[in-house]
Amino acid sequence: MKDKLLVIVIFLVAFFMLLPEPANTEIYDRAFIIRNVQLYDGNQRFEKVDVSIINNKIAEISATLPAQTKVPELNGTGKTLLPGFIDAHTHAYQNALNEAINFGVTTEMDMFTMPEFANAHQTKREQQDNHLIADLFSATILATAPGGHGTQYGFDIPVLSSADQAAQFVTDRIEQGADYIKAVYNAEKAVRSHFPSISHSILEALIKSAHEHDKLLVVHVDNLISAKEAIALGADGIIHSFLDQVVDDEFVKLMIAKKAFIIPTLTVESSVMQQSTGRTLIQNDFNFRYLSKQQRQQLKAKFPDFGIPSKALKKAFDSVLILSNANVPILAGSDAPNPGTTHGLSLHAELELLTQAGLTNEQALHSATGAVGQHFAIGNRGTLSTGVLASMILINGDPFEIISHTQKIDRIWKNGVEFKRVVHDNAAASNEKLKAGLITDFNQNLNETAMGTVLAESTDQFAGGKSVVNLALIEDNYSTTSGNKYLHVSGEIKTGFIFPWSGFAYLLGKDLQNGADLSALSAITFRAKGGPQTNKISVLLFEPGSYIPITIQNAGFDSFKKHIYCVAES
Amino acid sequence: MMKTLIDDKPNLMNIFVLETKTETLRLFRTPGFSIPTLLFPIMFYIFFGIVFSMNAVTMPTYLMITYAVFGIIGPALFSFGVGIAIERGQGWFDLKEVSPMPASAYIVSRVTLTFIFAAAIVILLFAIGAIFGDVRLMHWQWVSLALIFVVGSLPFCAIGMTLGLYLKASSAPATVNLIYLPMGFLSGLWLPISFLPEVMQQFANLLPPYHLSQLALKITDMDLGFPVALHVSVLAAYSLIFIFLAVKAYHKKDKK
Amino acid sequence: MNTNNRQPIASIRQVCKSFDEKPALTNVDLDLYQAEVLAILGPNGAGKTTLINTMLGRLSPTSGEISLFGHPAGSMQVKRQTGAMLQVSGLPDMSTIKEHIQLFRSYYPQPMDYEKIMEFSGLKAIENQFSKTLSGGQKQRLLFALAICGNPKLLFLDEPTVSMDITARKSFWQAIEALKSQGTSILLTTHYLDEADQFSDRIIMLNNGKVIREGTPKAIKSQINTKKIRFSSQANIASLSAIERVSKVSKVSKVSNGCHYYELESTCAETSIRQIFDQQLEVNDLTIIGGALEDAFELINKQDSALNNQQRL
Repeated sequence: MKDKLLVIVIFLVAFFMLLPEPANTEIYDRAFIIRNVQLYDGNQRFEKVDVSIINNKIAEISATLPAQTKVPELNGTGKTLLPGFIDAHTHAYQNALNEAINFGVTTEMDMFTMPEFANAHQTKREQQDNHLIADLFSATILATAPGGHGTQYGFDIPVLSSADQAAQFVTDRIEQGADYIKAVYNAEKAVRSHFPSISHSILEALIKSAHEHDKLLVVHVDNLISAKEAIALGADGIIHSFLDQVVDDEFVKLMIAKKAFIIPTLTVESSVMQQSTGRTLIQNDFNFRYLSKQQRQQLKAKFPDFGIPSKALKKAFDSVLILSNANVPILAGSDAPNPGTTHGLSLHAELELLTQAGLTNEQALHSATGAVGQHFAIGNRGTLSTGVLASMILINGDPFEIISHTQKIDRIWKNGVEFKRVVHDNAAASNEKLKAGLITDFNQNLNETAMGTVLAESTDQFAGGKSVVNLALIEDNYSTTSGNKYLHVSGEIKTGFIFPWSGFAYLLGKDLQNGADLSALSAITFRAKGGPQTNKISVLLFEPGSYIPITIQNAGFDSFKKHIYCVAES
Repeated sequence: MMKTLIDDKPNLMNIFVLETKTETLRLFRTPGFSIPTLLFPIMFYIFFGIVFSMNAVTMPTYLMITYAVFGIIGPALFSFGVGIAIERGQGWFDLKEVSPMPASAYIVSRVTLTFIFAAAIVILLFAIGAIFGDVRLMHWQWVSLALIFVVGSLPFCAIGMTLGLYLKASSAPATVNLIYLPMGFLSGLWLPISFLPEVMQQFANLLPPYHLSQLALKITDMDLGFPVALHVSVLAAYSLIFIFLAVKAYHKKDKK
Repeated sequence: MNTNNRQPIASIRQVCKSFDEKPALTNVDLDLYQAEVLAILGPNGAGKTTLINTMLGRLSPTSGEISLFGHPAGSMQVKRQTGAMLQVSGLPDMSTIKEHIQLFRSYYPQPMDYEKIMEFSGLKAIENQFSKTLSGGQKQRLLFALAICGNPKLLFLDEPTVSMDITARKSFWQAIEALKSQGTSILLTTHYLDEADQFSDRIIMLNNGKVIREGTPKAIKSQINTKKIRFSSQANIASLSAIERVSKVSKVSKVSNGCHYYELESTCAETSIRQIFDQQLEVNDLTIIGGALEDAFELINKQDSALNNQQRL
């Protein structure tokens, strides 16, 4: 009897020993201990602790955890463990959430994207096995006036022209899955006015309606007067700091009284002010390989120069410090992927800029972690305490000392599973380098240009519009070269597409996919003159593999003159 | 009047062992019971969980767990439910009742028997899951699952015992099957609960197998996320109610 | 046998039991002594099985007291000292005889030796057979084996010899004799009245839930005292029914030798024979046969129904 029992026990033990365990790398995901690590839990800093993660969740945080066999350990000496960052202002589409997580941003607060994209990812964020992309919260479509900011991107979006549309607009957004409502507002009293804006009463109605549905309403503003009005009406937060003036006492008191927060987006404001952080970020070795070509293009891209006085940026920075010192909550947001910014990495830039504005490193870290969840309903994202799903970043360094250490990412975990950072191939496209020479003197047919392949009509018919164009080679007396012909472009711009155009395009490469390698060239030179209706001439340069232009150089050309565009810089 | 006192008591452990051994041998010699009980959950698992799995990553693990729950309920309901009903019908149960067999021996032996069957099913399912379904779990998860399944068969023993004491021998097998199969399906043991319509999902809340499966799925973080206490208390409540009913039925004298 | 000096091991006092107001037992008194075989007789529905179930503790009496070995019926103390053979229609199929017996032995503190059980039950040759394969008689023997495997001081047997063949029955009664000689008390119900007559020390006759007669087989018989008078005669005697105390006359004529065989039943054989001789009938081969229990039972039943009819009138 006892022998039989022994046989059974041995069989059972052997059987369970033989049952397969997950492969070794996955053990790290399931249960592991990080020892002697500096921890920032999103609200508080612990200089040296042991953190155990079991079953995807933070199991225990303690000065010393007992050794456990079979549980792998990571030595965290000299390293810092942070919650996965939250970027409080992005526009998420395409690969945004993949790009974000590649730099430790495990949650994005989108402030305008198409509902289809938002919904797909809002569903995913509730799934615990969603450990390959960042979680998304979204405002879906923003609230703006007809022709207002937000309409210029070519999407057919609903707009508001009267206050009685507000309630319906808010219900529509919520039905479309908006986690909160974003409005674009510019006060009538404001000096600067680039776009039409919804009225004071529409904003008021929007705020009222959003609050009736228990949703936050955040307002995009670009000047202090608009911000004051929005907060006075009860908006929960302000997006963007102010380039027009430094905040005054009245505004600070208003913010405190209304318990409102601000997402300054200094990164995008610097880029607007032609002081983009993008190029510096790319140059860091520990960032470069994790950036896709498209992201590199985004970081190199520039806003057009709006001619704002350069001291305006300092006002934006100063405002942030004043607000922070008055304990107004600051949330870090990058406004990626605007020119000069990209998902993920630009949030690290935002932290740097926030410290440049005068926030302490800890305040900056808080603004991208624990602070966000205190305002937005995002669960316990941005914090690391017992029972919380382990979305976190292990940093090779101490961001409390040097804020840019946040970019020295050692490991990333999403929902307790290690995220293997994606390394992008840097090999350049193997196009032959174009040699310097004449593009065309227009003395032959249009299609027989000396370089490139396409010199063709370009209208909005490409995008469904109705504009027309006519190209003709005409005898002239402007030519300085052998021939005497020039290309005459005439056309008519007709309504049909939101941004109608009519003109011609010249492509240096064989086609749009492959382009041409211009690295042996220094500049492109041509002569052109515009007529009374002629709008602009653009030169778009791309980096290999990317469809986002790194430079968009626009110029009016009322008089006939020689245009020289440098390509060497990029 | 002559009063005889017998202070000697038979060795209780010995009774448990013999009773269990006899019952186990008997059931294993009854292929009509043992083969379907062992093979049904395994065939279903191979079919739905491996061959026609809708999701190769999670489905084999998920269904290995739910079919194990399905598997362990079978012997609990049948060895108790049908077994007792038939023995009652034959008069055999009466003979045991007038013998000095401790009632505990009857229960302990059948519970142990259920455990043995549960263990056999769990071992087979684990082996198939690991070999053919590429199920990979930590050792503590394998062991915890096995323990949950074996201990989790207790409420169903109580249900089975009650059925056995109330049902007639002739109708017992059909009645138990009518309870077993739909209850398994409606509790999300055949297909994941989330595949069922909302109304059925709500209804599953009333069924003990649903709660046992949720408890087991917690080990692999595949549950719906309700608290452990809820599942445990529902199972405990079911156990207590049915133990109460069984005791009532057992002590009901004057049964014909 | 004088039972009065001894202490009963089991006693039933004024036990009544009714099912849904229908009385099944009425004021039954019963004592059972050590090493005694007590047979309970009665027609179907007389309350025999109800009485046994009440004594086994499976039924609780509506009123009255039951005590076995000084303990209440159905208590563990009693169960360990008793064995019971009930009317069981089926046994778990896939266990062997040996397994069944070994299991039941384990229930008792001092079980009977396995070999001894085999000897008593005569199952040795088939001990490894599954109960599924047993004949009706073999099943009965197995049930008997299970009843005795605790070395019981008191044995309840409900229709024990049903479906046993003659040899099995013979060895069964031998076993009962042997158990009795060891001091075991046996309470049995049976339809085989000759067996009760032959093997029991005392008989209790039940009818309609009431004890109608109680005593040794001899006492019961003597109470009724029916005897058979057999003789043969060359003459054809027509007037036999006129003879005093003769209750029944049977006549068989054998043509070959012209002889007539007569059987008379008499409630007082002595008186009847005197009259036969007094009438100077030609009588050869005269034999007197003692009363059989069947006759007694039939008679009592008749008397009982007569009484009932009177009561009704």
